[in-house]
Amino acid sequence: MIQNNFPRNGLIWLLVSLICVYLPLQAQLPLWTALVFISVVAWRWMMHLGRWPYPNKLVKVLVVVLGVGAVLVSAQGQFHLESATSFILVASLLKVLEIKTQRDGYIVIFLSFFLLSISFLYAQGILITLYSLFAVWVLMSALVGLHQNQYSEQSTPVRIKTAGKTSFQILLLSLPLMLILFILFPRMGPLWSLNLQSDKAKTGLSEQMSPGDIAELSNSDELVFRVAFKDKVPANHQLYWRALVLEKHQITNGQSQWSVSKKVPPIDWYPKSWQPEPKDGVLDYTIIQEATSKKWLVGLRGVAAMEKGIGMTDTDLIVSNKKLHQRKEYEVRSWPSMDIAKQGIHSLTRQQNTQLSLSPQGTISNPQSYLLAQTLYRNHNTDLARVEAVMAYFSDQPFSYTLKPQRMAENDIDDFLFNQQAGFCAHYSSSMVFVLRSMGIPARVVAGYQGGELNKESGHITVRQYDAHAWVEVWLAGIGWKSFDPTAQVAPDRINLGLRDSLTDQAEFLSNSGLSLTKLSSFPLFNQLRLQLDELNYFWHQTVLNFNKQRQGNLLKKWLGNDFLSTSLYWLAGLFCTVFLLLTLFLLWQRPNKKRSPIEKALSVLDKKMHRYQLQRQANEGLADYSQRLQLAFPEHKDSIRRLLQQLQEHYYSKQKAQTLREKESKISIQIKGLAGKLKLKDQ
Amino acid sequence: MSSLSSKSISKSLQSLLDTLNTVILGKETQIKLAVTCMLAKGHLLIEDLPGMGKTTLSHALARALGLSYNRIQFTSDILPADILGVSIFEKDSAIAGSNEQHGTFRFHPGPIFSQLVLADEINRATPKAQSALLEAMEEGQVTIEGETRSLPTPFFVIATQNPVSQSGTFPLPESQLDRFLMRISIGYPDAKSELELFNGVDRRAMANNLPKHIDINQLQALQEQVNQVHASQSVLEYMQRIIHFTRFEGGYSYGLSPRGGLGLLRAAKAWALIHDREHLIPEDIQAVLPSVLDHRLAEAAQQGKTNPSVYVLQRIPVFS
Repeated sequence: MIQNNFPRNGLIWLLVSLICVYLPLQAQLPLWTALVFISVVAWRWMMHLGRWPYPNKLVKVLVVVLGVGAVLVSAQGQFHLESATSFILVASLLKVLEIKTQRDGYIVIFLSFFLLSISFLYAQGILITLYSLFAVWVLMSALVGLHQNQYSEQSTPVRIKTAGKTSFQILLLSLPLMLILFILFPRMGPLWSLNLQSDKAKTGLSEQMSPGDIAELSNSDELVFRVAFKDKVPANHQLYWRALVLEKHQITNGQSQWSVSKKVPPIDWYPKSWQPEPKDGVLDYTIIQEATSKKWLVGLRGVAAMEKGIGMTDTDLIVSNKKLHQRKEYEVRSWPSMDIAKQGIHSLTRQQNTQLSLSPQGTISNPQSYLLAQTLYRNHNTDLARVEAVMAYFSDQPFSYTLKPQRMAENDIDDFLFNQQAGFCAHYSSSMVFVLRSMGIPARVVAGYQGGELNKESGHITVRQYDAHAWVEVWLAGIGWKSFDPTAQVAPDRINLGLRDSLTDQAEFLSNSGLSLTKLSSFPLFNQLRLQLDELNYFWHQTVLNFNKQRQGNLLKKWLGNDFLSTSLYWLAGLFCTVFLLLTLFLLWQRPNKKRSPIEKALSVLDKKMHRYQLQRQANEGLADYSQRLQLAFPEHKDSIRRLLQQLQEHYYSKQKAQTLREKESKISIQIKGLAGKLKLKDQ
Repeated sequence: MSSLSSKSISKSLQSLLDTLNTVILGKETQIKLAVTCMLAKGHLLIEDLPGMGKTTLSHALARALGLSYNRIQFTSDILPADILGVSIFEKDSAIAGSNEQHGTFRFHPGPIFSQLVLADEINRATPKAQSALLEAMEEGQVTIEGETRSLPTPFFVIATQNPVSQSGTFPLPESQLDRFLMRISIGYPDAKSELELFNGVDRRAMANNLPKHIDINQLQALQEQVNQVHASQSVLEYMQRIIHFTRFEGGYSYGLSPRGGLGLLRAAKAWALIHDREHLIPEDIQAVLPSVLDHRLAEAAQQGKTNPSVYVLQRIPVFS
């Protein structure tokens, strides 16, 4: 068909839009894609200037093979979001090298729109949204530039300006429609959910804790969840966000490891689960938790599930029935001062919480610590006194808090307790539980987050990965499960102020996170800015990102006052979609599908044959010219070519009655096919 | 009107073309286009530099077709009366039927009263004088002093203009360019033709002495024959696609008018007739399109696209 050339003036907008689309993605992708991107843009620009040629077939094949190879190598045989993104990015970048016609331009722009929406898979904050709006404007301008009249007398700068202006107007006009669709369009749950984060890239609490894991988290200022308390916000040292209970002890390579026990705990699902009555000391709060691709949710001590899809375990935790592939907002109620299992615990639970692994040699691991436990056991009469003695041991001995401790030797708890005496929460909680279990006192490591940053303006608390913490829970007869935090003995600031404030001066905090606003929080101006941005993002998450089916229903009910209207909206949308689908199918069905006559078929056989010799009939070429050309190319068949194409021409254009021709039609077509078979260029 | 057999048509047309080719050397296509224009009953505009054989070509055409011939040299001070003619008071003349010598106004027909008029350097005249000629071209008659006088039939105008805009020229507006069915330019001869020209006799004299090949009756029969050329649906659709493209898709500020479209069809049919064919093929349209389309769209085309026909033909497929 007729193809318009790619307008030269459209290229500038196109390249700018490529850059806009590419930038947010680069943060998520391996560095070599930057190399691909820069070379493609440079190459395309040189092509625009006419200095470099279009890539030929060989180069194209080579580049594609290299690109696919690079994607495969960096994916390391695994299929995850990054590899898929880099694949589509490289593919669409290579398409840029091929832009010749207007249609190629469309393809690149539509791919860019797709790439832009891909970057939403990684981040959905308000800044990236505003940025995307800007990128959409640039993309629309590129689209307008693609349609600008190639023959108008406007100079290039004027055209560029016009394109930008036009697309801005288009965006402005579509803004109200966007808002209406956002509010009214039925919110459907995702058809499928995909684990977007590859496990290696995602930092977060894992179900297995070996010393060093939490220190790694302290390098990340990634958002974990936000909390808004209904009433007063408790003090920082009361905020122990429980996420996982690590009961199982293992020894790997001489290092102690604590993990979630494999047995599936009995879960009470809401609304069958226990709920405390609202009274003094009971806290109501809302949590917006970022995607973790795990089922665990966070809550303070004495937690209770408050909505459907959330259940409670017997270890005082709440869990979701689905993995959190998306951000989740949920209501929680906690009674931190309640007694848990005061009456006693099941013998199996007791067994689980006093279990200690033997060393691979079959002997008791960490003998020194075991000995310490024996001594402490003998010196005190009650379990409570023994626990307090362990706590006192941490405060009496010269322990210090550091995020970068030396690697522990074999029997790591011995090494930590008696030699190095420097570590962080994971070490303290691990060794304390070890000592307590050695005395036969049920104890467990609790992993979660501690504290968080209170935004005084909005009153919400932001908890980031560096707030990750581990502490200890001990079961004491007559008291129940009680929390102890050995880290608080060593570094009280860590608990009272939070990691950020207690370690701001230390180089080890956030040492790998590059430029981060959190790092700059010692400057008042930046801190103010950071807090305001955080508040804005909280508002954004609460109102826009969590605008789900339920909220939409509530809003519509509030506006329209009637449930019927909102349901009828759904019906209307469904009807619209159905009609649209049917119409599309109908139009596709109706597409002109002309039946070809034998002569046309024969002609296409000839055309195909000639295509091999680069002699194919041009779309704008008449049969007479075609015949002339073929006669020149195949002098030995000159007469038959002339005769047959003459007949063809008469078939199409002469006045003779169609009937007489129909008899000849099959004859001519057979002859043409025969001719097509005979024609051969001598030197090929 | 004598009906001509197809054989005699081709024979007389071929000998006409051959003769013209001996006068203007190496310009077969241009001569064919000029004859096409005459067969399609259209007026011809020749745009070229001085001395390229414009006058010789028109003179030779007039002789070979047996038409009466007049040449009007347009200048900036030419008046409509110089073209159309004027009534002059003659003291000695008598009113018809009476013997008294009163003296009356008698109409002296201008040079336009001839079957083939060569309007030389038409863009040198003022718009007033130009329009006098162009009106005559359209109506086939002139009205002078309230009296309408028919022009002879057939009536052809061959106008010439210089492409280089020189001082003191009045370029023809689009509406008047539209009156010319075709515009051609002759161009320099190739080396062989030029050498032959140097060695040969004076071309102007040769044109003056050309024998008559076709008489007026035959010419009119040929013109009638043009209408008989068959145009199949397929080729008409091709032509319509071209016209549609000039109007809505090609990026021209205006496209080919219906009159232009009809002219294109007639010219293509005449071209088919010259090639001894009873039906129209796409190549006929492609052959005449540059001379029919380009001068009509010259103003509509933006800079860089002054050859609309080339642009259009590249883009329109022969088969939809």
